[in-house]
Amino acid sequence: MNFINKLYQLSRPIVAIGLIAVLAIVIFPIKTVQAADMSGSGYIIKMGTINIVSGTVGNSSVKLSTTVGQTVSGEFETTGYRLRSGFQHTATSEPFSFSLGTDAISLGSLIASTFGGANTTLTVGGAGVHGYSVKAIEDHSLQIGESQSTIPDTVCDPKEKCTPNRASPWTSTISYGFGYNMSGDDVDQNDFTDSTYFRPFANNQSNQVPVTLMGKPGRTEKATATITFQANISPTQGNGTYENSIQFIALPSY
Amino acid sequence: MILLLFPLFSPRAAEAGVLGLSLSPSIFEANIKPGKTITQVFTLKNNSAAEQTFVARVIPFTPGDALGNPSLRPNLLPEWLKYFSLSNSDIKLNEPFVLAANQSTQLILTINVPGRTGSGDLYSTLLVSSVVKDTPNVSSTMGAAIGSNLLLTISPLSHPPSLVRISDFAPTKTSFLFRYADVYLVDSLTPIYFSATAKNLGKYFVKSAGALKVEKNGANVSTQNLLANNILSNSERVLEGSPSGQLVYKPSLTSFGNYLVTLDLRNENSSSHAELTTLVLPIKITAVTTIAILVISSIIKVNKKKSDVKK
Repeated sequence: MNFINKLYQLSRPIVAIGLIAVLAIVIFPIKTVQAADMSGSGYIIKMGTINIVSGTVGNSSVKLSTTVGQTVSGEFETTGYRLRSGFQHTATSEPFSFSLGTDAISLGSLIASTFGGANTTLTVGGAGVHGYSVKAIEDHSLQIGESQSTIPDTVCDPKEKCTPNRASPWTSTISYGFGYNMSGDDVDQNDFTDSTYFRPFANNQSNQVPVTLMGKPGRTEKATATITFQANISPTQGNGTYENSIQFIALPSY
Repeated sequence: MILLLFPLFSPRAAEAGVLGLSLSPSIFEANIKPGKTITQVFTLKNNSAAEQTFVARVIPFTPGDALGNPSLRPNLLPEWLKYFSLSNSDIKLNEPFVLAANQSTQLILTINVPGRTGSGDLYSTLLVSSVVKDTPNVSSTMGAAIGSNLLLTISPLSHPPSLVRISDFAPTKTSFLFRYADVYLVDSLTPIYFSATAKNLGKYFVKSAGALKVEKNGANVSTQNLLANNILSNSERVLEGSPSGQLVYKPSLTSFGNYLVTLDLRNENSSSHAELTTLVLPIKITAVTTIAILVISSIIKVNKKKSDVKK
């Protein structure tokens, strides 16, 4: 018993130190350190002017990222212009690019009051230091040819109507229409809270403007998001092939 | 009018596949004297799995938000759109052209500013859109478009006058504990993030050159340069620090007392200044030390009582 008592008394300070350590970790959380542009055995030195030639040169110990071209000072009076394009601080390893996983989607044969869907990816690269946005707009609602027979743009569940700028849950099978959900990089997670949140596309025929699907301020090397299309038709929806066109527009920020 | 965004219809059977394109550079800035002509070459690449038809257009834009996102205005058809043309022999603005899979081409954009053009800025986007293909038995055909922003200043002056003001300079809500006037109470172990906006009240776009500096008793403690973002005429722009985009000062363990934080914007012919004071105190260190002392003293007391009882 004496031995156990001694062990107990010895353990008290250890418990106290442990408690203090836990408190310290809670109050001073460990954070990752991020650094950019300087790493390894050499240097990256950046200079800015107009690109006639640009790129990264060097050997194993030194790397120079540089541009060669027209200097700015004193040129304006003689030439009548001053240019800046692709200047160094916006340079990335690749040009601004945008791609869609497919150029057409099929929702298949839709069954009344049953959700049908399809998805594809949107990928943006080389957005540079300022960031980018991807917007979308449809030419019109899904319709058969030039007829007036349409699948309307969704308003989502009746109690929380979604709009081209605001997503809301769409789980009710008696709510008919066509819309989309977004997930992945640079998607507004506050709007597309989960996979049940949908929006209708902005509709060109209704004079609406393209709406942002994904985007980010600041440097973006690569971002990929998934767009999920969803449709639900009423039992009275006429048979036929309903179609529209959706334009996705990737714009760099300035 | 937004139909202008939709490329010309080109019926053609096609298989569904990856649709992609790239355009470089993504921004072009110029200051041009009236009566001058300039040329800029853009490189367009078809990254799609198949041949694609594209259309290049110049579309005016207005500032869409304070983050530098343009808001395209295809329904605006100002006279100055006539200043833009493509000097390519086989590609014209607003007309379709074909690129094979993985083929690149150069778009030679010429901007011809007539001699009597008034001074001011012209903001537009060179937008290249894929022509939406007619694909049978699908629900939605999709087109991809990509843009490059064109910021033009028309002025006889090399450095036209600018007028920029800093507004709303303050630590973010989670960065300080208490505020009294322009003094913010902060903890010495918590990074202080700042937010600030610049307003361009002038007629021409400017760059957000400048720095966030932290001083104590007149001695510089920290300097962070601003990212050189473009602030368009009559618009606002959130200021960002280099390189992360965040304006931030990270006090050290030994930081204590009053720190003057200044934010300076400077251009060729204008400047703006804002400042605030942070009172840095070791609040977290004090809290942990106090708790530790309390815990240890309680243990000692309990142990002492136990040993007294035994005796």
